[in-house]
Amino acid sequence: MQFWIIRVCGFTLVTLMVATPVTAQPLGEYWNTAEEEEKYYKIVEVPLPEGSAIEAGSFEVMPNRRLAIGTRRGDIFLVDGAFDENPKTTFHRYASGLDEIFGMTYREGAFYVTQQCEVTKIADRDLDGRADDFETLSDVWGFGNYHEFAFGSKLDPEGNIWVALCLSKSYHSDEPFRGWCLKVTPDGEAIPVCSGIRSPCGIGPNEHGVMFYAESQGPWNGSCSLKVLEPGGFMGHPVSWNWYDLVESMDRPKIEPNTRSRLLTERARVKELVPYAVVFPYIRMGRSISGFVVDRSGGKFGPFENQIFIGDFSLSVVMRATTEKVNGVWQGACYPFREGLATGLLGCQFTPDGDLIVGGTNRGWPVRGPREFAIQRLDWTGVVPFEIERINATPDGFRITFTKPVDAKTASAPASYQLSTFTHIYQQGYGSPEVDQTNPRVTAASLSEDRTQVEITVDGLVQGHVHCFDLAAIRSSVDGKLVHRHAYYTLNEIPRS
Amino acid sequence: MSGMNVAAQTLSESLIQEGATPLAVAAREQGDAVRGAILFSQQKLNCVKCHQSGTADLLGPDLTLLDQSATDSYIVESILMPSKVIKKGYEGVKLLTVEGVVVIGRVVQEDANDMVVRDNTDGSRKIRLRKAEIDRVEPSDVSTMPADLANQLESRQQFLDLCKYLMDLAATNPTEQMALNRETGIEISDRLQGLALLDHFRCAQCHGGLSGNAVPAALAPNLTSVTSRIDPTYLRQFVSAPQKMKPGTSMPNVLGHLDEAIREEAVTAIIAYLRSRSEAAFHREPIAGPEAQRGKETFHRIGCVACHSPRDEDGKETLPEDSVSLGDLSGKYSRRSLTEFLENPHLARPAGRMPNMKLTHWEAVDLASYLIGPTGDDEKFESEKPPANLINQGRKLYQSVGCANCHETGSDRPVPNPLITLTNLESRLGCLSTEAKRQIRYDLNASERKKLVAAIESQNEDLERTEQLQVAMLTLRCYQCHQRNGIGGVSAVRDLYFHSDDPNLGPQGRIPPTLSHVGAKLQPKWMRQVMVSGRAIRPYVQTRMPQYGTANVESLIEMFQQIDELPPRQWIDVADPKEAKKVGTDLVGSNGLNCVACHTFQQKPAQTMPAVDLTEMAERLKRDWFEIYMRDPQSLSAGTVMPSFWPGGKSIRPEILHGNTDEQIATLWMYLQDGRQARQPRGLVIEPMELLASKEAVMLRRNYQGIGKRGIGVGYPGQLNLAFDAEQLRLAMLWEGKFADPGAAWRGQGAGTVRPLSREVIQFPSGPDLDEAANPWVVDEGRPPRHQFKGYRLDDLQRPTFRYEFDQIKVSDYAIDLVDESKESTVLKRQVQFETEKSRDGLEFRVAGGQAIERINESLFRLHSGLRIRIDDRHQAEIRGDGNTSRLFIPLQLRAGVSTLEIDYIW
Repeated sequence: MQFWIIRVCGFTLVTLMVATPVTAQPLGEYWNTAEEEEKYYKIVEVPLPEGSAIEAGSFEVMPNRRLAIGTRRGDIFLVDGAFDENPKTTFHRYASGLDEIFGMTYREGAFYVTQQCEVTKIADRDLDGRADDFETLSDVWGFGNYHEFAFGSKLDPEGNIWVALCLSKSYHSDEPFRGWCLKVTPDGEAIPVCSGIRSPCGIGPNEHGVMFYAESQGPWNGSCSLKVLEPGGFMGHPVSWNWYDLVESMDRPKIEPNTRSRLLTERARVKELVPYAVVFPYIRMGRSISGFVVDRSGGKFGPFENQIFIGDFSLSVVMRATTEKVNGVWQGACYPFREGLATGLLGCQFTPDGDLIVGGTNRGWPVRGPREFAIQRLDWTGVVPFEIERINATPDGFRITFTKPVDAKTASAPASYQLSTFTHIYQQGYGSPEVDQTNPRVTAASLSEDRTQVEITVDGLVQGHVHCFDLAAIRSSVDGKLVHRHAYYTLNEIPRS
Repeated sequence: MSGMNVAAQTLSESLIQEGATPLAVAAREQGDAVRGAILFSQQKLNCVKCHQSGTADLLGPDLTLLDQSATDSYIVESILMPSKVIKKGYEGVKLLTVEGVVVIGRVVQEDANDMVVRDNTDGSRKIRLRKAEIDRVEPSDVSTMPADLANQLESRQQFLDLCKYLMDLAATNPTEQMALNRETGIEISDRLQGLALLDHFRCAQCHGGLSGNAVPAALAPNLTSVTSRIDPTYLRQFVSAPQKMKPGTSMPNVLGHLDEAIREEAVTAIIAYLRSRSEAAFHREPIAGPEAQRGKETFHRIGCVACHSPRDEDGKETLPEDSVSLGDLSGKYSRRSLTEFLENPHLARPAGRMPNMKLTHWEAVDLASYLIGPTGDDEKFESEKPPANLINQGRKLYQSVGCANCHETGSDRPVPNPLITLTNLESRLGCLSTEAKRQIRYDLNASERKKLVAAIESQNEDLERTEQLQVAMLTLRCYQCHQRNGIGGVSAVRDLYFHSDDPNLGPQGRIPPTLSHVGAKLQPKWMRQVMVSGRAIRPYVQTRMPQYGTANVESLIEMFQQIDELPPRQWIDVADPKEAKKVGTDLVGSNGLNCVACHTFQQKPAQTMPAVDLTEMAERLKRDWFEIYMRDPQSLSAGTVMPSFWPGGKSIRPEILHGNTDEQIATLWMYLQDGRQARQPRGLVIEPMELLASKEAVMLRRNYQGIGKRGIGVGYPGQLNLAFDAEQLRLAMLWEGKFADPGAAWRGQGAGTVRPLSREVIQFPSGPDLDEAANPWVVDEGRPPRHQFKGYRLDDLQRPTFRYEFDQIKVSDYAIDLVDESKESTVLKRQVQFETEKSRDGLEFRVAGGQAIERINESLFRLHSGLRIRIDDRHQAEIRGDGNTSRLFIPLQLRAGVSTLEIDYIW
């Protein structure tokens, strides 16, 4: 293992920011779509051993149809039966005593685990079914406060683990690399990727294989969002800039962002600033987005292949997201998917059968789901829901793809597409109201021949704004309503024609 | 055994000895009314069973009606020596019947012919006796109240608390009782019952014109795929004689008018048609194993027997007359087909009259196995499609005899065959006539006939909303479990099948809640979640609230909401919600009304009982209902164990908000509005957590006192424990005994430190164990720059070898626990291994510090705390500093290769 660190010593920084008291926020309204969602995606209980407290933080699929669960309490369980149609499970404790496992890959007999304190390679050398070798791959980051969570990706194609490091108490960066993403290589080198992270809760590749993370609402973040971990980039929260001193290959950005500004404005000033790719409007689309995964099931999970599925801790829902690169910038949309999960979701994972395992715990923060911890599975019933499959930006509007052919009359009427936009104040204070609202007008809607796609022309696209779609008026060709009428596209860039 | 056993004095005896007057004084001064109120409602004492508010004919008086004539010592005496002072009107009697049966109790009703006695042995039972059957009546001078009730309490203090609560009750002026619907056993009119029967027999499917039911008409089972679900032999017999195969079925006999030979042909053709509508053939697989036993238990526990008959040991139905018939299930279904039906009954029976019991797959397997019973055969039935002409003939019959009027068969369903509409019906002819020759034959008894006639004849009279709701509730059989406005509720013969997880909650812990005022109680959204999505709030009630299907119940939600209202109330709005919530937090907590003593808080059950979760009240309840319920819980929920904290409208916590009842209740409401995010009140009892070594070592990487976040605690089987600092690379802590309480790290957000389960923890100072002697790292809270943690390996007993590097020296640090029984000491044997490529000088290794150290001999040292340390004879240790700055160092000269240092820590 090599070290790139030059001088790391533990010292506490005097920070300029003072925590603003945050009043309790409501958990908000339900989508009220669970009854309908149930017809397409049913929730299957993965039974946990009685008397156990299994607070899943991350999942992995093992050979022989085994599920591995890494927990907040530091256990790794291997589970048989979790993928069966009607699961009856047996749990085997593979390792214990670890510290908040949020990231886990199994490869060639070893687990690569991200825990709060380090990235660890864990193996069972005597093959008795229990881990006995815990090799620290990297613990270069500082760790002085319990809220300094660490979220690790699965191994990328080069065998690296990308680790997103939460700030100290969400306002400070008291320890080295709090607020940074580090890439830990197979031989333990830790390469700084980018600064400016606030409070990550999930990390992994998007559907195009580019590494993203889930950011939470808070200082410098008006709402939760998916952001791309751009090497050399700055993710928006400048308190972590002091650690540029520890990085040889990167310079501290020359220009600091202004508070009470707009992301679009500051992007133009601070060239390192990477805008959020997909905004999840607060409460309407979760309150603490968390672990995400791309559906590579080849259609076994329904019509959303190669899309991102992402959980939410506070609201116990699963959502979808799609991303695309426009004018060199990542952006995309999010869509409601399934509500009514039993607990706060932290991790998710597709099974070999193309079902989606989700799970977590509701401890510590307010959560809508009533159970202290749970692991559940979303199984596609085989019935295709009538949904907005995806939204893409076009030079003069959007292309909306549906999962089923639409009714030509409603879909060709521009009035069927209700659009509104907003953005956030980009600021040091906690979160942001939605501001600068506009109501663009759809002037034309043209239907594809197979009636699954509509190109809409929009008068009043606003760069930098989240564009909210309400397609309540759209009907399928058999007069069905959309399961979810809303979608939210973050328009960082308008494609050049 | 020798010696005498002196019987210990019971609490009751010692209290009696102390005397009523001193106890009364003590209760007034030291009693806590809130704790008393909670005791009053607990199942152990069962006060509420006989002293319910607003109910006159119980064994004991309504204590909320106590007035100032009840002096303090009277209250004390009434509990300790109930027979000394019996309240007038509550004297007991002893009756002897002519048959020689003795009944002891209180006469609650008497007229010329009868006498009704509240039974002393079971206060919930009333016995009606004809006077002619009574041989003798004697007054009893023994109170019906148990004499040694105080022995159910744990302490004198509890007795004082209980007395104080009753004193507070006596000090208030009794208020008018709300008297909100206390009657029970009200019968529904024949007409409304008839309307429910019209639905049951699906009369409108042929006749049309039925109105008055808010629930969509019952559709008969969907017959698509019926021949793959149901045994063809059974199906055949059922079609030809439904009532014979399944007494009580709502299916009429439609072929009964045909001669037997013709009938058999017709059945064959209809079955052929039905088979053409199914993909797979019926298949019966053997059943054996423990599933049936579990299924039996489930069947009698979760609510199946609220409608269907319970069964005895031999599987015989015990209440066949009074139940929804199941027929011969073993002849009808295979295990698989019944399992599938039970998992989602609405697929085959979309009307929802058979509700979805929210079974897991495996529960459904168990139930199906039980209901079908053991079968040994593995039978496959022919899957060949019948000839086309037969199918066609069957299809024609299916339409002409009326099957198609009720039964769906998918895309090929023939056109129904409508008959005269109900409104134009001559109600004593046709199906209702008793004439034998009619074509469609229902198996109706006289009572059913009477009710159907009543319903049909009053077709033109509009139904009130309340009546519509009653019909709907009859239709869906809500009344089997729920009582509403005096109608329905669990019947006496089925009561024993309603179970609770927690007997402390009394009947409300096992009987589904009353639906009186439910629309004025529950928020519509919550109601929808319960009725449509099956949300449940009472985990302790083992009977499940089933699901009837959205389309079948959603109209009921609006009806409940519209119909139910409560007397209008004024409540106060709180000017400063933030302050109100603060006071609310105090009220909910142990220094206030101690709601958390009984109510679950954020899914964590309270110590005494798991009453409904406080943090879900806001989502459920409406303010009007809450205001009334707080003041007088019994008025809305008779028999609840919830005590009144504002008896007579007066608070028993006068020191909060000057005892202003309206304000206290308003602040509670405000507090509850925060729902799941309500601030944690005082007095939540948290079960201690213990993480202990078993036969193997146990580890936990978390924050430890004085170490920081990269601590690794290890509990060894030999009851020795250490904590290693993986950031500063040092042995940081040692303790004997149990390992640790991880609660602070495993609860909430996990902000706290792991707590060693010992008061005597030896802590060594900060800074790495191994360092350069001349130029050591200047110790601070951070990380030594030249040390690097490398992980650890576990031995067979899960004991770790910590690995780290310092300046190209590879270090492994391994400790094992030994118990030296001869010397009565425990030893932690630590073995530190150094591996270096070239020899190294000028290093030192710290083995202890932070307290005074004395040298006992060349290799043995003693710490101030008594811990002894032995160094192997290859090394020399030095004490440096004194008192708390003492350190025990071992200078090291490492040769190239591997060298070992051994240190024993001896208790």
